[in-house]
Amino acid sequence: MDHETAKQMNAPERYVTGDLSDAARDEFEEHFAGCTLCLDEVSTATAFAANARAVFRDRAAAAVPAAVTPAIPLPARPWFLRWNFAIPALAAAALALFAVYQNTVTLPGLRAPQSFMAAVVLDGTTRAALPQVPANAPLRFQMAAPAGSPARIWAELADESGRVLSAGEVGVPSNGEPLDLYFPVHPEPNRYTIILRAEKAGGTEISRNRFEIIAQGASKP
Amino acid sequence: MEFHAFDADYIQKLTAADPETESHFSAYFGKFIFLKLRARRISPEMAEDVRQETLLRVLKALRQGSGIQQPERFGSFVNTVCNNVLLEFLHKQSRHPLLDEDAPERADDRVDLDAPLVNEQRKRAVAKALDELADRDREILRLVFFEEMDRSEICRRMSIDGEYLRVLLHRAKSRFEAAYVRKNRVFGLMMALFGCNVLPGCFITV
Repeated sequence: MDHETAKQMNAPERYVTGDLSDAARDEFEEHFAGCTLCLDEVSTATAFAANARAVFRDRAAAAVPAAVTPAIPLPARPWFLRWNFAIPALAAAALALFAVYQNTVTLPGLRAPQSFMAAVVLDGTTRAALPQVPANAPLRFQMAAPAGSPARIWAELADESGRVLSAGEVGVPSNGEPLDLYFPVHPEPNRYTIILRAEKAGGTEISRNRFEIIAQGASKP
Repeated sequence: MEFHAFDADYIQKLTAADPETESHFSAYFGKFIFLKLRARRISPEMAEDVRQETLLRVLKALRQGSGIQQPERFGSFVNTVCNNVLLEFLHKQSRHPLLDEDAPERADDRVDLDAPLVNEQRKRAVAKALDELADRDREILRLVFFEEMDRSEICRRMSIDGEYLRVLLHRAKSRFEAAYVRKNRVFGLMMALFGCNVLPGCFITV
């Protein structure tokens, strides 16, 4: 390759930017090894390319933070909508509501005078007519503690489907007195079962007594 | 018209170990080898090894071998020696790879290759040359130099032909040359006139 050819085809710039074929590149190298003008051209183009890369890199780096940071900052949330305030505030409000409910509904009901009718005696006998309890009357029952019962047993009140409405551990009188049970619930008129177990829920069943809650005013059969 | 800097007198002086000629030989061909190996993405470390070995072999050929039959083709001779040395180094490296197959991918050494050529003054001159271009032309150059995108892809994307790209590169490089290189060349000549030790014309030392 001679100098005129190299000049016409912009060989120095194309050499630096990798725009020459392998054969043309080898020919141009052979030429500019002995051509001071082309060597200077290659030198200038190389310096331009290296500094252009640096300039574009600097500009790209400078543009990144601007792209990441929104041009218009999002408005800050009011203090009462920030998570570190809102979550504890909601928890406190829920607790306050619960306390109000207890003080206005639950506790007054418990503190109010209640008429206690005689306990319904359950003797475990299966009859055609079940022992009956008027609706809304306290569910208080007496039954003989099964022989060999442990000092504490598990009592359950279940509906016809087997769903347990009330359950808990009770002590068995040691002096042979009957077991006195009170279930603090007021289920709808229907048939129910009291189940005594040796252990907690799911333990060995000791006895089973059925009874019926009837609507007030309904006549006993 | 050929621009040969080398003739029988130059070869004779170099063979006779003339200090000034040796200095020119080292500077000129050191620069040539640097640019050649840089264009081939050879690491700076290997480029330095190839440079030293090439210059040594050329001097040995002149002083201990059969010498140079065609002094006007001295540049071509040095280029051939450099090619041989480079092939030997690459062959040696392939026989004794520095990295095994499981080694992590090699870091991009482009920054290291560019480092000796980049400085603030040149960057300012390049930035000025780039800013004088239309936005679209500047984007084309960004794709060439920064994204290193394939030429055909740039032409397709920007709806230009290869000739336009070449002209654009030439224009931008010429502006850079006008803004930076010529100014420094004048400065170099002035320094030379006042007896300072600079290489006239070697305005971009590599």
